[in-house]
Amino acid sequence: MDDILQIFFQECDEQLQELERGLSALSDGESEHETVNAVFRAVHSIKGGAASFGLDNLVRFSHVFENSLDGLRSGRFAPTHDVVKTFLKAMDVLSDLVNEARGGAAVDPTRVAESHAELAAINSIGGDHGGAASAATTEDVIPADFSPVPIDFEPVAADFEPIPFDFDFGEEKPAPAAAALRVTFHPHDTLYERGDDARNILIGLADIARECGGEIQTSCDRSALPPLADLVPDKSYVTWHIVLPPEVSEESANAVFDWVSEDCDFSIVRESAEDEVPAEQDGEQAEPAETEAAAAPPPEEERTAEPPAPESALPPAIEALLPMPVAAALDLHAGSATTPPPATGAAQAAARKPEQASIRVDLHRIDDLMDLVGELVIAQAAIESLSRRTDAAGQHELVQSISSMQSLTRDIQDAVMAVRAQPVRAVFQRMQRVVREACSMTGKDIVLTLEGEDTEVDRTLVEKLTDPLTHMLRNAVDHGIESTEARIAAGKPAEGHIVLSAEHRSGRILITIKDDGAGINRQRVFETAVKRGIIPPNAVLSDDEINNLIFMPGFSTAATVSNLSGRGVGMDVVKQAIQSLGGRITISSTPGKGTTFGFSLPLTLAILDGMLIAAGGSTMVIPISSIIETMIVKQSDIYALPDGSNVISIRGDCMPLIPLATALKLSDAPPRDSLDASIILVVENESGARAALIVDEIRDQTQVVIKSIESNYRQIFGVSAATILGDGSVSLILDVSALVASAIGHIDSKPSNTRPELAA
Amino acid sequence: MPAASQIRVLIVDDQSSIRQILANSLLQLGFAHVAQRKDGKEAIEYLGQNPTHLVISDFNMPVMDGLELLRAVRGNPKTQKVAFIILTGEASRDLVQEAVKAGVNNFLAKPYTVAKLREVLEKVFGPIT
Repeated sequence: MDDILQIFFQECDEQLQELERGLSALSDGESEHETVNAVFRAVHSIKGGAASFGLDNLVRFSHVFENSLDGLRSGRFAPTHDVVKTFLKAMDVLSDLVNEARGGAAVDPTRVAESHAELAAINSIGGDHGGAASAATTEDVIPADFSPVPIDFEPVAADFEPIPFDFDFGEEKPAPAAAALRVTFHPHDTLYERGDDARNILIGLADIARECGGEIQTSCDRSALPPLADLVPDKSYVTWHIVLPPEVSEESANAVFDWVSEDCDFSIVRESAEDEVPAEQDGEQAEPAETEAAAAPPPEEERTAEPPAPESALPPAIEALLPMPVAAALDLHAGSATTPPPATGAAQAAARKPEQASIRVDLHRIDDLMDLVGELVIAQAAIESLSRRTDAAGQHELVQSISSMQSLTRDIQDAVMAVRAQPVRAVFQRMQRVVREACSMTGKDIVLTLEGEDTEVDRTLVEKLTDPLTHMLRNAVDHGIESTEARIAAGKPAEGHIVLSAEHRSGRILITIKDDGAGINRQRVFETAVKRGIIPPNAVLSDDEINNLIFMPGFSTAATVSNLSGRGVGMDVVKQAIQSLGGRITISSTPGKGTTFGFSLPLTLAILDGMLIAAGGSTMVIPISSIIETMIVKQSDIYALPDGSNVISIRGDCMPLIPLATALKLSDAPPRDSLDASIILVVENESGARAALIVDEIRDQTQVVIKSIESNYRQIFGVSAATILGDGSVSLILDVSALVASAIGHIDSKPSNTRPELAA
Repeated sequence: MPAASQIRVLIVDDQSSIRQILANSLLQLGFAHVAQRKDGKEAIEYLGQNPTHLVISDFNMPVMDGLELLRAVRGNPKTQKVAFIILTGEASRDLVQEAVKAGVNNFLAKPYTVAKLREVLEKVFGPIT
């Protein structure tokens, strides 16, 4: 039974998401019947399940909620702003009640009663319907004069034949306007010269078709193919015609050609619905793929265990200042001090749910993975048999097999990542509530718009984003958006606006939080930073650097500390959290117009692209993402500082020069007198500060699997993790941020380190 | 007087927890053939391929609801004799009349006990052994 109960709670999470989505749509002014129905169904399902499990609190509340929603459904009243607001509030209560039933924090009965009363009040609009319905028990629903209809039971006849059903699933048919997308693709010779393959394009197109639940139809025009004797193997002769299902957008089809647009002719045309397939198509008659009645995949959500007791390495004084919920939830770097359990409002406690570590995955992703594993087994068998051959041809084939094994491994890696990928929707939607609550605490009127909720990222990332995002959004409500009066005085709409968006950008995920508030007051930030001793009074900082000061520990410009955010420690914690995910934070801010924060995060935490380097006799890995460039230095670019350290000027930019072996205490030998012709890597940390690392050798570029050192040993300065290389040796992955930070700290005591005029 | 193990059942509900509970209850009563589908459309696909004696369906489901399913089952000569039991909650009061008109065999009110389930089934099949 417990298992089923767990399924029920998982469903509740889905229903709550559905509810949130529907109510958000309603509050945006949508009044589609299906939306209202979906909202109703969500609450109805929760109630139905709760009744089966005897969860009385949940049943009682969802019952009233359902009754009110029924009023909306039957058109007794309209989804006005106030009505939707009441429903949203009721949804929060419902979500807390679900959590309570799951063993979470108890919900304050007055909150429940209050929401209960509001729902009842709504329901009395247009006549009293609530009372009557709530008095009914389910048995009463069945009319007294109904008598069950008995049937004569006949065991199954042996010759059962499939029964055709003729039922019109109206909305399942493709809309008449939707027409297949016709793609014509002719690779140039250069495509093959670059080592690419037309097959990749076809696979890419098949993938996007499959994502839309359809298939592609391809036909190949071979008319230009010469007789075999004249055929030049590396020339391109054929043209493909591909028909994609109507659901596929032009943009996504276009994206497949992103990398090869120079190397091929291609066209993407949306057929008009009536168009017949052109006759010259050879091969099979291509027709728009039958639309699979694939309903949108079920909302996938996952909840996983919260990090265990949070640990913090911050000094106790700062610890005391931490805004508890955020600080406690963030997984700070390991240390000894344990933060006491947060004593906060019920809502806060309730927001933390005891969660399950299971996910729902689209079946076809598992199928893909299975296919690949099948191929892997075949490839492995091929390698095994080839390895027994000693002749040259066998060796050659072996090399080929190994390289196909490599690409298979890559594919499997992608497939596994796809299994772990989750849309950020779940986290994003939770932010609606965060903003709602923050608004009611500050008395501001703010709309949060979500964009790109379907963007998928690794599940561990999804989980770990919740707390930083919560804090950032609270911060945006509290500090970013001005008070209503100030907004009106500035000639802005009274209603503030925050956009939370996610998108994939060059192999990373970019999450932005954009508000239309007052922007960062750089003058005040600068003055505060000076006052707090974070920077010397004569520091010369760029706008960007001033913006970044708000992420310094112990920084706050808020005149008064509100109970929402603004103890000035949170932003620092956010930054740490994002950095621990391998992310970077960017800020841009225009006075009077607003502030945009960007989190750029890797897609996965398990694997990174690294550069293999040697220093002090060890082989180490530096994440490619933090390397800006590599070069060989000239002595004339190096400037010695009085304390023995060096800076290097690269095209006018000065940065500290770090001999890696010495910095990591790998070599006792003093640095060479002349650094001329040393190999350096210019690296950058999250805030954009750069340093140059001197290494002995650059060995390779490779993908490495990240293995935690902290969980097996302890934190080591300058090292973020370890990995195992192809030859079986263990290699350390360097923590570039720490190295850069320490190098900057090294010369930080001198004024004007960030825009030094040393180069001049 | 059929044996429970002879009766082939299809449970149709969009909530897998509800399906699971019902399936467990049926197994307790000695049923051996219990299939589950999550909406009317999937149920129809199932019914087209598998001999079935009894459909127990929820009312409120996405894609195709219980009432539409009932009508489709009654509308097809090959399945019109399949027993049809509808799961009801109190929100379904208007639909109940429609279901009676469409030829439902019996209702199972939520929440129910195993004994109640047996009673509802026996009203349709006669004593189940």
